[in-house]
Amino acid sequence: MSSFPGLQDPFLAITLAAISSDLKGVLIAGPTGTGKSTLARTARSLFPADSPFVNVPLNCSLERLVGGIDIERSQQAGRLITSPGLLASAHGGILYIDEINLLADELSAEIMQAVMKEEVQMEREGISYTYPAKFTLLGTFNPTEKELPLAFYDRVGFLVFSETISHLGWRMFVTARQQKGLSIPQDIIDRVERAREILPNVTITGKQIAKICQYATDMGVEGNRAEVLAVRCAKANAALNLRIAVTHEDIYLAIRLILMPRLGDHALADSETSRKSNVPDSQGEGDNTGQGQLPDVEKSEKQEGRKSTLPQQESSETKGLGEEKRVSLKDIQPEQEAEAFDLTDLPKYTGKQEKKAKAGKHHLSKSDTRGRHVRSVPGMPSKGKIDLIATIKSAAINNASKTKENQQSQRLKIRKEDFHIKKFQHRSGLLFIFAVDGSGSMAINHFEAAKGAALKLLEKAYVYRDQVALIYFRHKQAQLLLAPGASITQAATALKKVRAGGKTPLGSALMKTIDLVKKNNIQRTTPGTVLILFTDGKANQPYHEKEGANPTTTAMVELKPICGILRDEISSCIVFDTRIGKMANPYGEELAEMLGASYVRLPKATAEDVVNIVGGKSKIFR
Amino acid sequence: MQKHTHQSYSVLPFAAIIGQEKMKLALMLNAIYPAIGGVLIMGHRGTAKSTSVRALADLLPLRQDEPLVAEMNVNDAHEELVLQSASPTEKKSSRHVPMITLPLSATEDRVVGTLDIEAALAHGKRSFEPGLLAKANGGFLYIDEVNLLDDHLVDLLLDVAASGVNIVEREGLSVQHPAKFVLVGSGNPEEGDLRPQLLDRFGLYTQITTITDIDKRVAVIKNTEEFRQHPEKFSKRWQPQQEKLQQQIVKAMEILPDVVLPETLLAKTIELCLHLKIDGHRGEITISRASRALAALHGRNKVVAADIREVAPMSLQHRLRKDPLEKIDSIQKIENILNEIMPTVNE
Repeated sequence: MSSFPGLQDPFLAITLAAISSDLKGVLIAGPTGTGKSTLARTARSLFPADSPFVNVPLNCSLERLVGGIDIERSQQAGRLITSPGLLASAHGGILYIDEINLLADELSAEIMQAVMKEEVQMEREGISYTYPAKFTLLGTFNPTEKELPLAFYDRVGFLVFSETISHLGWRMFVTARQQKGLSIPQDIIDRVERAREILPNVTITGKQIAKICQYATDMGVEGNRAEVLAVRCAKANAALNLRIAVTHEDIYLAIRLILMPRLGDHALADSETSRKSNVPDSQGEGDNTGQGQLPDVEKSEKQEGRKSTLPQQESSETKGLGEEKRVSLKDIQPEQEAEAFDLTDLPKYTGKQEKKAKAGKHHLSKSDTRGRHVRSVPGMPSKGKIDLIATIKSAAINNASKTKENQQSQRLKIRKEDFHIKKFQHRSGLLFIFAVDGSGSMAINHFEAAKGAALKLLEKAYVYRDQVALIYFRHKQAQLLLAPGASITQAATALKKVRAGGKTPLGSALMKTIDLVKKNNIQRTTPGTVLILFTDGKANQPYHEKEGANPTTTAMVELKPICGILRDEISSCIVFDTRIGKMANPYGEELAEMLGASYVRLPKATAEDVVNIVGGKSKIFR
Repeated sequence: MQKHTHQSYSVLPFAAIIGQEKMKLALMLNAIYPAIGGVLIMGHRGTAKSTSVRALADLLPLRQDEPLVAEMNVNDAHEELVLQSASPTEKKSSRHVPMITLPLSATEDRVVGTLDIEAALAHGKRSFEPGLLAKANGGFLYIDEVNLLDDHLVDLLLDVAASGVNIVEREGLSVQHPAKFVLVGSGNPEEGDLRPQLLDRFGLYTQITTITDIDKRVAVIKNTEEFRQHPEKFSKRWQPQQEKLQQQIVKAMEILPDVVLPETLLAKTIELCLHLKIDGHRGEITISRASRALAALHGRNKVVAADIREVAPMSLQHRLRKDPLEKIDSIQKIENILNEIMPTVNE
């Protein structure tokens, strides 16, 4: 089974999923060009010969996915005929989705429900039915583009990584294979078929199940689903090895492939690390050489970023590291600095730097044919996307009153006023990006107050269904504590746990913001983006380090071009200056100026004021 | 109307679901006393949330009533229709309590009901095709991943859940029909938040976490796998327990009207809600209803302090004012005050 270099785990996972459809499928993560899609497509031959293979394109409509009315056949037959949709078509076979992480949320939700219920329930546009839809889900994605929705992690059996072991070796292999046509050797296909026959007879002992459970408990795996899947995986592996009793090898494999990726809360990158360190070595899964030995830059960076979503870990790490401790002891001042705010001198923030035109651009960019179809209204097709069903309905009603006089007429007359067009609803809300300075200087500058205000805003945000991202910056670089789309409860928990200390990588924070805003604008996730920046504006850790140059100077100088880019992308921006005292260093003001942002002196504003200010600013985009 | 119904795999017997006692209790209390107002189950992934909800319908005794009339002719467009249960002359058959799933992808017309397009096309007849709200009448409306439900559907639900009546004014139809149902929602809080208005609509709230006891975890797997392989055999094996539980619920339904909540305990309950600064009266109303249902479940005709203690956290947890800076968790807060004011000895 070493025919796929670098893909041992993905290949093994697909093989096991082909043996037991109860494993629900495989998600393959990895950088582009590692052959994951090729593998997924080729894997088809591992499944029984007559299994359907259904590809869900990213631009698939909800109707196409869950099914709808087959207009053409309905018209011919004179009665309504439904067409089953992609989910139901995949029943008994494979549902394949390339770049599954980029799928629209509503489609992901629908697919996940079908995976769980093994049927698709359709309640749309006057049709109601339930189709069986039991399939194996094969999905590939590149986690650096966008995170996989949480729901997928849990419900699909395998989450595996395709790694670039040796670029040269793999490329030679692919090139060679592509000339011959990539295919899976017949002996493997036969073996899988045998395994499927054996599977119902495979047994597992209570003790073995207990072992899986013990591991799951120790690893903090959520829920019982993972263990159930692990048991199925062990059984499938036994069958693959033509055994009818599960052995410890099968158990270890199941622990490695099923439980490890579900480690703790947000396991993806973390599991990668732990897999390398403490996985019990199992035999029976082929050549493992080189796996995880590539310290390629991109991956370590990715892990860094991921780790940041685990605030608990981050803080425990801090305790362990002597250096960090020193920094925090030196820099952090007691929390009572966060005294009551002084209301007497409330800042008059002026909207003069605000760019209304800019804001309008994003606001208007939503089109009338995107989003979710919620209802239909009378209107000519030139004004929007025609809703055929509603149009026919209307015509049918109007014709009905006339058929009394003219019984012969079978043809449906569609008049002008019968035409209906679809109304779409866009994802409401805005993307709020909170960037919170956690550097040492912040510790004396109202860090707790900034956190308090940010938390207050988070609380408010969820009423409007806003999306929230949280960037926290200190030390070497900014971290994305929370990606957009995650829950606000999580954001609050993450924020409560962070501590201040270290340098101020302001440039890095703004670069991260640019990334998020660009992604949002491309995918049109929300109609607008708002950056809420809590900082004292004094950068001293540059994003691009220059050799020999003073880091503080570099850090301050680079702000200008970075702010320029951000300014062009974002709808609105508010800088809350957290600096205390009367020292006349106008870093915050300058930063606001460069960003075209509103400027507010935080120490004089209460958390309530902050909420009101942000609320007022964001009203324009709603 | 063309319908493809396929026999869905029968669900795991309710009695065979291991652990998660609070969630199961909340579901049973609602079955006994629908006026409690439903339950929202939020928690870890893969903890039998939706399995339990689906299992509930099978547990409950069969009903001797008829669903709402499936089709009504409305040739006169301006005639207002009131859908009611079928005429008494029709033979009544027993049926399961409806447990209707509202899929996330549902469109408005399928939820509230719409013009029957086939009847309109084929016969030029203007008739009403009832939606999911009509189907759920007298039973449960279940929304899995309720926190991902689109706002336009949430708005619809809020209206109907409050009034118990579904009013349809569309496509020349003017129809209203009763839509009284127990709203059940489930979801994983990490995947998204719930709108506060919808949160408040649910009578009870249970937060569930993963079972940590290894033996229980093993038992969960064994049950799941055995049921998966031999559903019939497994269900039969659990039938005695299932029936026992069912009888307990039936008896509770019978005695519920006679269960009293002593004034002193009601006063304590109100005091509890005042202490917790809960807005409105929904808190104490829910506790009084849920505690009566719980007493009935225990076969008692009088609520005791222990009943209140048991149901107070699930009745109040989601009604506490959300304070992100709060250090202690809401359950603990409720229990602290319960310890202060609720008598520990049952009279």
